[in-house]
Amino acid sequence: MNAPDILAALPDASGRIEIVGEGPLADELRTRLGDRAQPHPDAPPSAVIETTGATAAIVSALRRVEDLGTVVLAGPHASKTVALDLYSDVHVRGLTIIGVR
Amino acid sequence: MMGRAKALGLRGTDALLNWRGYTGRDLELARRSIRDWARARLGRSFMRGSVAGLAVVIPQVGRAELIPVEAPLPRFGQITVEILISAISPGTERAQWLRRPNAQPTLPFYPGYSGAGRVLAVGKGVTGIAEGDLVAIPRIAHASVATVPAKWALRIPEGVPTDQAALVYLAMISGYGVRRSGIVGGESVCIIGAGPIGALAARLARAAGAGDMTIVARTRRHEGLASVVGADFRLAGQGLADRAADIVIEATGDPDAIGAAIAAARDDGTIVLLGSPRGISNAVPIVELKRRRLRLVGAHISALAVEAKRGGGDPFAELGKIFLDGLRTGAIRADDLAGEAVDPREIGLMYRRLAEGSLDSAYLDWSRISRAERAQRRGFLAAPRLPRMTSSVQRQASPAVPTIPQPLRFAVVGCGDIGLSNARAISRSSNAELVIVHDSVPALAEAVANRQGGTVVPTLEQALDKNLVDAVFLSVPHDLHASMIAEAADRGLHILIEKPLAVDMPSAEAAVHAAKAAGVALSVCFPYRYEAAPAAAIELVRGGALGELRGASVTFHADKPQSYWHGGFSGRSTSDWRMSAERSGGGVMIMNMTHFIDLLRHISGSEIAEVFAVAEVRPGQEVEDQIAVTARFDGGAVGTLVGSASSRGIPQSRIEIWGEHGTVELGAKSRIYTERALSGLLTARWNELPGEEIDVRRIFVERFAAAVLEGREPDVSARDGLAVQAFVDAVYRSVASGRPEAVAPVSRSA
Repeated sequence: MNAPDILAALPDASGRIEIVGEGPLADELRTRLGDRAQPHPDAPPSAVIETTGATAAIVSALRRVEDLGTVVLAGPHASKTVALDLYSDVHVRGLTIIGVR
Repeated sequence: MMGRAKALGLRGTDALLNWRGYTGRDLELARRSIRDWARARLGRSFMRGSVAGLAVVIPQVGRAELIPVEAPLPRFGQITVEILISAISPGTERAQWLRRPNAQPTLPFYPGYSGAGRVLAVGKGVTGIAEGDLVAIPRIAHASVATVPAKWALRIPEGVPTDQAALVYLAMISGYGVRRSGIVGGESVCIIGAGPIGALAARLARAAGAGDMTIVARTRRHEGLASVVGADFRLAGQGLADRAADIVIEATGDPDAIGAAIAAARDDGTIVLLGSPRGISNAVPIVELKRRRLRLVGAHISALAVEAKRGGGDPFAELGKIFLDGLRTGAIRADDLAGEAVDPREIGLMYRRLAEGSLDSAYLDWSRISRAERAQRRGFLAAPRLPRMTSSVQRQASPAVPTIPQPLRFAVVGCGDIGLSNARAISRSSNAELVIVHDSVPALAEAVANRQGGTVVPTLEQALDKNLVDAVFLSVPHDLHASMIAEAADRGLHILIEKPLAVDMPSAEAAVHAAKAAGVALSVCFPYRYEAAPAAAIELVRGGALGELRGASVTFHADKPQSYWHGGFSGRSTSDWRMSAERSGGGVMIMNMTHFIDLLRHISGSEIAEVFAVAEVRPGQEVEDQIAVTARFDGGAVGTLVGSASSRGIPQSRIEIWGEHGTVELGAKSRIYTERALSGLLTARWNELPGEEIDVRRIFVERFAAAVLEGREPDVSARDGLAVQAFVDAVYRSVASGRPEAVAPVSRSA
């Protein structure tokens, strides 16, 4: 799992990207993205890169990202499966979830 | 002030409806009809012009109906369309009907997705669409008329059938899923779910250049959908890991299908979530998404609206055109997807069938309802359409009787109360003649002859004279029925017998046998079939108003005076035979309820197979005064029959028969309710049946005479009489044994 691969997996290069997590991967992503990873109080991010692997963080990312946005799963995962409300949290809003390793 | 006026208005309406016979649930429905009507008419007064129509509404859980609506004439950029077909979206509408998770719209709810119709009017500023054009329209409610932005409408290419074009919005939904998959030529596709959305996605993916394709469905019934697009077919639950599809389209709506969808994708593949999951997905294999670098894309059509807003253009129209052009060129087939045509009046039945799984796909065919009925416009002040509490069902005129040169000549034997009625019926008949009258008590015969005509003869032998009469109407104590039938048959006379056929089953069988051997007609007097309400009910039930029989209930209440047991209701003829079990065969069951057994059989078209009965015989009496029967019909329907000869108060009787589609009630108030669209009835409302007086005995005699003169079987056949007797026989056997008893089947040859 490295930062360039993760960024390459994103659909396009425009829009603000939010990085979730405090580990070295998150740090590197923030460094590479620079201003694009700066939080903005009003506008939701067009993509969220989730590096913690916590289920709650994934659900929260799905709810924070803008309509038609992307959530990248870049964290380690303890459980094999999670419970998700795919209708409200993915389907209706046209979100994309991308798995990377 | 307004509130007070409204309250007064409502109270006035209720009073009026009460006066017209509406109470309880009927009142509620009628009130709603008035409100819907008033709303539509009031709305119209704010329009410069409008077109009246009907729309589907779900006013409450488990109920769907049509209400009047007004579509305003088109303004700038709008068109008004007479909808011919509206497509049903089976998955979503089923979910909404069952109020599944994510599918619980606020009520009243106006369902609908997609349709096609003819342009009635075009507003200013509209180009490319003209009056009379056939158009496909996404996002419209199930209604017979709609005014919509012209840019929504897509002209239907020449040669494309309307019912297929009506699927346009479903095709947009599926087309959006295909687009979000990012498919490029040659990529393999696995589609999970074979409803219209999955099937359309398969066809659109094929048209977009998909390579190998697999369709996964729950039943083999959908196997044909795979061959249409040259796809492999796979039953759900058989594992999909070998598919390794570039693209998986999940189109089931099942929240647990995500696991199978992910399994079907190759590493780095894409899974499109096209069906709306109705509930939480408890086991999304998140580790697999990561490990295999999968992409999961939500593709609900509402996201396309977001895209349209951001990117400009009209992506909906683009997707619609791909579909309609594909239909035109033959690149896309949809002839097998439109499904079953449904009369919109049967919308409630349609939803029920959809929910129970007996209907896969369907569309509403508005042309099944006449233009006049769709419009229902009868002036602003005209009343809303309520089931008439007088005679909404066209009263069936008395059956026609051909006039004949030679009437059927009758002897009346037995001149008690009912003999007098039967003699009167004969003398009033247009094709029968009362020639001879006989009773063992000469004074009774004299009285009848004095009132109704005919010559009194002193002996039975003289009465049954083939040279003078063609037929005999026997109205004698039950124990004399069989022997007199045999005697009359022997003389070659056709026979009418006052009910019951005989005092017991063996003698009834002997009587039928005698008539058959002599080749004469034999009919039991069950004239209530000809009463206005039962006659109308029979016709409606034959037309499918009830569907498969589910149950029936009969109540008979009489309050017989004590003198009845010694001389009948009038006391003209003194005799104790009614008190004797041996002479009468029984009490209220054989004496009175046989009429209702005949009606029950005749209306339901079903035979009772088994009964369990209990009865009360009052101390010092021989025949039952109260009786209760539990019955099972041949097809599995259930029923109860309760009778009393001494229930205080006004005598009343009531029959209720209900089936899969409706209920009929006959009694003081006779009415019918059906979810089927039948001529002359309001669907899914109680409709009053006609109740006017009819001289049923006269009609019974006339119909019998006509049958004899035309050489056909009488309406009430000997077999009918025997079937009623078999029922009574089983009831009395059950009373005696204390156990359920089978009703002897009556053979067709009887």
